[in-house]
Amino acid sequence: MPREIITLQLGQCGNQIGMEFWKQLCSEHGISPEGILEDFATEGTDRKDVFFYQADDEHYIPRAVLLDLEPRVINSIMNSPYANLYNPENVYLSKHGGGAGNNWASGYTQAEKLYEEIFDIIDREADGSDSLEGFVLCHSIAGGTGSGMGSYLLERLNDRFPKKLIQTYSVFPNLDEISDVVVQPYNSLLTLKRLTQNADCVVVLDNTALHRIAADRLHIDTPSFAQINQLVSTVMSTSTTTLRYPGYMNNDLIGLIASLIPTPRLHYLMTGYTPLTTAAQVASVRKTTVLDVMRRLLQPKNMMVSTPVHRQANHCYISILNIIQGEVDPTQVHKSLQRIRERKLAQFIPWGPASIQVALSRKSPYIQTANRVSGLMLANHTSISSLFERTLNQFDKLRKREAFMDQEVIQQLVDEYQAATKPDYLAWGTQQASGSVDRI
Amino acid sequence: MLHEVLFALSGHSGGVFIDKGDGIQVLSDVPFISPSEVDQLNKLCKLGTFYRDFNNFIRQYGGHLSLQPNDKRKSEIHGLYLKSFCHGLDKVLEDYRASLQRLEMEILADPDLTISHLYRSLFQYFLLFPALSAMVEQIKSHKAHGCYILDIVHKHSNCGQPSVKEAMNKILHVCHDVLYKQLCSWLLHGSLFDPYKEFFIQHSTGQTTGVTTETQEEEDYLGIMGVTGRQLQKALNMTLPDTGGGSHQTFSIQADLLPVYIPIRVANKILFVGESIQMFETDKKPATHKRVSSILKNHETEFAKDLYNLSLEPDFNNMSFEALIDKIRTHVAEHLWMLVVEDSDLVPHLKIIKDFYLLGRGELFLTFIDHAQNLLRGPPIGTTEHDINTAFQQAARNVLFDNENLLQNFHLTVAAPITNKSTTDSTSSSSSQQPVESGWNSLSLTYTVDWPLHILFTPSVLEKYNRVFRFLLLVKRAQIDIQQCWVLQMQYKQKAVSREEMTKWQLRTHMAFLVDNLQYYLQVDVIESQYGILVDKIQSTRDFEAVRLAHDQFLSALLAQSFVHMKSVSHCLHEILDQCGAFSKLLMHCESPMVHRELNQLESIAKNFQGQSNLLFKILSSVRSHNASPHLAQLLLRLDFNRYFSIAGGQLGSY
Repeated sequence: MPREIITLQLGQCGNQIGMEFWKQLCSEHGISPEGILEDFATEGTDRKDVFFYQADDEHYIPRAVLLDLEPRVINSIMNSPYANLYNPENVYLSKHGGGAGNNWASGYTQAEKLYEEIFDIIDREADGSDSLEGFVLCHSIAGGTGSGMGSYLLERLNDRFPKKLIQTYSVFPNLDEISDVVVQPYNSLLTLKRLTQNADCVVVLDNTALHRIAADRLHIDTPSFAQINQLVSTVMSTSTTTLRYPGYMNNDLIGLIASLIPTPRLHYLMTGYTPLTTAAQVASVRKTTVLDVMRRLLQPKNMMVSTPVHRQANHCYISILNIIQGEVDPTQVHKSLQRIRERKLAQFIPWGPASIQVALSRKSPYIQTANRVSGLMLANHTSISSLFERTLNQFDKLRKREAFMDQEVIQQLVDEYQAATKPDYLAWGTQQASGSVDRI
Repeated sequence: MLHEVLFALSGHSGGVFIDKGDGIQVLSDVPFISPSEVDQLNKLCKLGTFYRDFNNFIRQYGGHLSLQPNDKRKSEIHGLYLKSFCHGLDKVLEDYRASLQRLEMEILADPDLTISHLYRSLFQYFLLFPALSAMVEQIKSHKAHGCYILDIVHKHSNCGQPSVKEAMNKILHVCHDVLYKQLCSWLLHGSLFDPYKEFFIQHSTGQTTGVTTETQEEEDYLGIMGVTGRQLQKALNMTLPDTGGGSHQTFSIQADLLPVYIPIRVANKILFVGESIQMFETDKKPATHKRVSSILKNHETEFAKDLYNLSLEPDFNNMSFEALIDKIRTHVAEHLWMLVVEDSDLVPHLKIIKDFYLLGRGELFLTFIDHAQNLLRGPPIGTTEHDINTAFQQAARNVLFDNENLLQNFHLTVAAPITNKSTTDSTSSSSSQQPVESGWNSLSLTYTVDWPLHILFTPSVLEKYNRVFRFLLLVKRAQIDIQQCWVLQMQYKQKAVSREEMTKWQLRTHMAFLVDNLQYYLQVDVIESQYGILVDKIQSTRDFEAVRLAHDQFLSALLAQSFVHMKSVSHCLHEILDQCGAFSKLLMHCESPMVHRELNQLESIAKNFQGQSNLLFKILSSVRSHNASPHLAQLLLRLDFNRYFSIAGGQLGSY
């Protein structure tokens, strides 16, 4: 039972980051763009079968479903060297090809109409796996297809596969730029509601932070999509590394995310990565100890979510998982934890036990990297609420004072995250519950 | 008259000098001998008596040795060492005889020589003979055997009188000839040439030794290095029974035969060298291992020559002796290191051990637990073993474990229930709460090791691994159970949570937190860390014994730090893990909303969990200050990272 995971790529953004993700997986597992296992990779002890299935002795096909309402990105994939990687039956383009026009409602309703066709593909994929563990959804929350169609799929997946996990990699829009999409806050808000209520784990990829990282850390003034997506694919592939390389822990999706999510709705995860380099940059090999890596991961500048620092809010970590790859002295892990606690480098919730979990993971043997040690942090941090607040504020600007159900859900989520910074969070949860019961 | 004296001095009685049983003495009533002369003559006669006794001793024991040690003389002292002792004694007496001869010449040349001249000429023997006699007496009275004679001689040579010291050393030197010959055959050929069982290394006698080593191993679980050469030989006996038990023998150092001036560490080195060589001599497997046949080949003559040179030296030099032994040992140990570490790929093997016994391949055991959950939940029955092995193979195939050959080497066994049937029945009927010994607790993993790695992975070592294995498996199962409940908890994304629900889920979160962090602690702080240290040590040395020592330390660190040997902590953790299992079972099967009985059960689980976590906290924090067990503090650091554990009064699972 490999505990397979099916990846669903939705819309322009979802397909782009999905594409990068598969590129990365292929190179890590020694699979050529045509899906053929390279000669040098036949002896590996990696687990390709979680994300790929084997068509024949040497042919690996991603468990991926590519969906879009407009042909541009999918066509570019189909014209790339990776065209033959995917199962063509899993690539679905809506027939009229007009897209969702950056409109959540359009994406949602179109998906509703395409229900049969889409779920034919998903069902077939699910049947093809021995013990499907869950779905990974790649999309952006601001556009039309990724947000609208994504929302619809989240709801239906919940109905249809109630026992399966749903993890999403959700790209949040860049708020530093003036968006050409006026209704972006609507789209975001509507999608956030589904992410809150229907997904088990949301890995937030904040475009604002990604651009900031590209500019500040990688010194790229106008980062291209490819460069941003490379960051994203690094995060995605590293966060799945314990699933793909046999290790002692976190061998399945639930093991990976369950420890990070103590209460059902606080399931938005931030990521941090170090060292941050692009392919073009040759990293100046710095001295990298476990402590260095863990300390850098706790620095806000390495986080892929940009959150303003609230002095009064006392934001804190709910949980942290560090996945560290490379040549690491395991005896250093404990010392690093001790040091971090002594220096109070991380604030934690007061209402429950929390710690930094450190998983040492293997690295792909086929990719040469300049840095000896790299680390990814998956963190549940209350300051993520500022992202939702931002969306709410923008939404308010658009539609002053108009009661809206979905808004309420997100407002509650913001409140809940802020409550989670306080010791009486658990009591807050039950108060809210009794309050809402009264209302009904 | 003077001739009579000489005669008496050579130990013979005659007309004037007679032996009345208490030594040779001059006749007291001879008229022409004045009383003062009697006194002087009697003194001289003492030498004669001593000499006669020595001669008798030499004649009795230094003669032809019977080849059957079991003949009628077996109760008497015998052996090669005794014979060479006699030879040495005889050599010392040579001087005396020469002196007597010289005196006779002098007497013949000058008949007017006085007794005093004789007395003066033989004066030195008045010092020597009593010492020799005391030694001979000691040998006789202690029934000194084998190397113990060396010990006695050595003790007596510790004497301020140069002449005595010299004579003793002479005897010792002769005796050492035997020792060196035996050492030579043992060190260079691994064979024990010792018909009278005199060497300080002896075959261990069968079963009794087996038992003692067993218990000894039990005792040194906690950190004391259990490097005994016996394990090595025992391994030979136990893992390769089919090659004929007769060729494999266990050896040990006989403390009563070991001369004091050879330190026990040197003796251990000697034992190690001989055993290693013996191992290669007795089970040669040509072809497969290119180095086997040549363990000493190039150096055999060199070492033999060194030993010979050493044996020629008049004085036994402890320093150079140890240096030589070290030289040989280093060579052998290095050779074994190459054989084990390089030729037999020790490090990859350790990796395999880690992957399987220490659950390094988490995904394999994840799948295996899925498959075997139902098979092992109850007490094992006849077919269980077969079934779980099938499940294990199936799991391995599922995770695409390619190496079939490797997999063949692993086999799961389930020990038959230890408790006899009637008691099991009575307990299960008397209280249904009483857990019946489940298959999980009696599960063990066997690994067939290839020659020559069986030296390291002996059955007792593997059994230790198994204890860790069972514990890790238990933690893993609890973790899986608790994670399954998380899926249920996540269904409250859309619903509001009531107070009861909230506490229930917080209990789950706390349980999961404890189990997760326990596992991180075990895998990272204990296994990965210790494994790193082990591999470093193996790679930084070229000495097999250091490797074995490192491996033993690795294993004992594992056992100690995973609390397998710490009854209080281990019991506490088992309780906690059991509560996790019970919690998951309850939640997966309960009705919603929970009925009264289920709520009660939940409450008792919560109470237990609180109690045990509190106990754990107390144990962990009480010993935190002691440097003796820093690993307890390591676990505590993880569990109490944000100090919630201590703020909550050292108790998890508020309910």
